[in-house]
Amino acid sequence: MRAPQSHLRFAPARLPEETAELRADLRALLEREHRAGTWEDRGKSWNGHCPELSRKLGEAGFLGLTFPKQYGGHERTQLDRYVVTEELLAAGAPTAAHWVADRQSGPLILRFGSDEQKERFVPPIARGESCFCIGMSEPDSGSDLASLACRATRVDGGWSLSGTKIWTSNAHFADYCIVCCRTEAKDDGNRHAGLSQVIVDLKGSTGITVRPILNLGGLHEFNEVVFDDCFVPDDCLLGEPGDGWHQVTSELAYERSGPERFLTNFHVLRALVGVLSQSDRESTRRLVGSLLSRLWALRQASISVAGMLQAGELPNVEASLVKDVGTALQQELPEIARAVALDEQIDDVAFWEVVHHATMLAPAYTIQGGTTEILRGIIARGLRLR
Amino acid sequence: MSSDRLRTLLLETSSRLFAQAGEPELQESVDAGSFPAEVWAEIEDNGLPTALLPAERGGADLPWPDALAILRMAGAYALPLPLAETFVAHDLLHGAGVEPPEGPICLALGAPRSPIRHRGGSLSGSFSCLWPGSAHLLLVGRGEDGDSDGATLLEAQEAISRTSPTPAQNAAGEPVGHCASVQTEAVHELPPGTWRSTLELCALSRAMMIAGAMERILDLTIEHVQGREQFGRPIGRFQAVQQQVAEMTGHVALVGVAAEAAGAARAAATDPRDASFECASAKACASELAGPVARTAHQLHAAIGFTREHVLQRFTRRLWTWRDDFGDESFWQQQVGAAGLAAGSDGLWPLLSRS
Ligand SMILES: Cc1cc2nc3c(=O)[nH]c(=O)nc-3n(C[C@H](O)[C@H](O)[C@H](O)COP(=O)(O)OP(=O)(O)OC[C@H]3O[C@@H](n4cnc5c(N)ncnc54)[C@H](O)[C@@H]3O)c2cc1C
Repeated sequence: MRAPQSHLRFAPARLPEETAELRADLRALLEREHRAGTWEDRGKSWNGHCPELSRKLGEAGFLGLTFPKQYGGHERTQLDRYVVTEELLAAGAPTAAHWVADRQSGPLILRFGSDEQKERFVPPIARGESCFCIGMSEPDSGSDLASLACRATRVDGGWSLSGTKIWTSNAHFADYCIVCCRTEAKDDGNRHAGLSQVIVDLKGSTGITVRPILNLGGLHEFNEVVFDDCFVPDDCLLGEPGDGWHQVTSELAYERSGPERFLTNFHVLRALVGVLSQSDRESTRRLVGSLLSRLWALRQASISVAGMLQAGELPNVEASLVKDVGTALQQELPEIARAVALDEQIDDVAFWEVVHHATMLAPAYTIQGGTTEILRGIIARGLRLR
Repeated sequence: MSSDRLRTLLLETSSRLFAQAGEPELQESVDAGSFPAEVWAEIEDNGLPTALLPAERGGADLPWPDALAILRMAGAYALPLPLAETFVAHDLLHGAGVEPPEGPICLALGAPRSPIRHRGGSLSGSFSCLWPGSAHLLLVGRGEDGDSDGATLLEAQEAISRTSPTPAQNAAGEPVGHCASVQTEAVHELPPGTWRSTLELCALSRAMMIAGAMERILDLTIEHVQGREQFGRPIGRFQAVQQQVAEMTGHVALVGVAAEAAGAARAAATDPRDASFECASAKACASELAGPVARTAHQLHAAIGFTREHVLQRFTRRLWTWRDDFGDESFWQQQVGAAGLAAGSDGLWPLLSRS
């Protein structure tokens, strides 16, 4: 028998000492702002919109952490960024005003954009003043993104964009949407050819209709966005025309690997521990321990992915694994909190409100950013099964 | 030699030595209850069991993280030897200023929920132990709050005379002796907290072994679904199969990362209590996921994996055994849960993010 093959990388990574100071500074800022009433509800997390907090975070140097200084960034590591991200999540800070831009749009523009685009779009992101949204999904193109139909046709000085995007989170307040569209006719021989990404100025363009779609919890987070002959100037095409598929897939690595895939509803666990404080019930300690031990392990895996990103690797399979296991756990969390609280006969109204709210949001975790089934397909490909 | 090179060399040697333990005849004799003394002799010739001891004691000054890496490799070969226990015993005895005896040493701590007690210089309580009669037995007892802990080392013959005449068999086929009530002088006084820290180190070691065995199981499963054909193609081409392999991969990865991280936390801790939460979490995860990983591997291997002849059972039977050793998932989850509840609403995140 030979030594076992290593199918996964997950190199152990420890957070460097320097991150402790960054963490302490951010914790203090969040504590201060929460107490000052800048925001209240810890339950909205990265869906909560609070431009004031995002601006303050930018001012204090917590955004654009890995970006070059030339573009307003701080040239710090992915591990530093990891720490900032998890602290924001653990505190339940509302971050929708900067989250997508800081996580994926900024890095995407830095990687594929022209110097002029970097100059124009990146510094405001690092200041927490520029909000981006993701225009990928369409009514007939969900998991099968490559089938998308939204089209940009050549016109004088730029492109004319027509088509419908859907489930576009935050489009109702975002400044820009990075839209993945077709710039050449469909080629059945090569499904991934002919796609491009354009940066659409949502506030300064005509021919855009944003219609709200309420989610099952009754909240307005995502939208339908209809483009009807919307003019996109030449200098807003991102990267090379026809290279959109490659760009979109590299964007997804940033989208999938982060701690938002297992810490989004951490406030539920906080609330549970808060109403219990102590329990002599074995089942309570066991269930809370099961959640906590797996959360702890996932966090270690996610730190490892951040370490690989820092080393310049693109750990797509590992990121998909973290998202798969993490979102499943996140979905289980409100169920376990409920079961424990029922056994303990908790009658705290505010606590139950938190649990009910979290239960309603839980189905989304294993859908957005790539469904469980699609992620497992990516993992299977990484294992060379397909 | 750089420590990285030394570790690589050690792992190569271990891998070569542990591979012998996989011979079918040897497995059969282990299943029949006999201790694989020749394999032990060979790993002893190569200095493995004593490696944690300092050079002047015949050891190699091996740091614990390297010892844990060896144990992960031992798991990947389903090594039927008390190597982890001997590592821990050497560490404990050496720390107490005692020269460890030659040969394998097994450990008896009592059940995690009802430890062997140390009171007034003597040990009492009930315990189970592996390989009675084939290894020395180190009994470790826990003192009352703040009192010193204590340990006694029994010769193999003495150990067997104290346990039930016919040992039971665990799921891995190894003999387990049971003693309903032991009463013995504690020869060595140990600082308070030693019992607990020993239990945690043993649990961490098992988590590492589980991680190694799971990696092997994943490897075997991938190989199987790529090679086995039904309906004119490898079964790994079926999406239903791919989804199960992918889910299992997530579990295997999680356990590997957890064990590794707990090992790092323990190595970095000046006081072992600073890594209690991490060790407990690692064993809780490893034990909790052992069942699901074994189940999926068997489902995908189907009938051939359900035979004694197929190699898969050597690893899944060890998962079913190791998940219970030195605290099952229920025990460790309760430890983690109690720590979380004690930390309270505002202390929960600092606890989770402390290392
Ligand atoms: C809260 C939320 C926010 C979102 N925000 C955005 C956003 O900001 N921007 C954006 O572009 N999109 C966004 N999305 C859309 C999201 O990316 C899609 O929902 C997702 O890609 C799945 O597409 P679908 O909903 O059309 O499901 P479908 O693709 O129709 O899938 C339905 C079911 O079939 C399964 N399935 C599909 N194909 C396969 C296959 N090949 N093998 C096995 N099973 C398969 C899926 O796993 C799923 O279970 C958001 C979604 C949610 C829920």
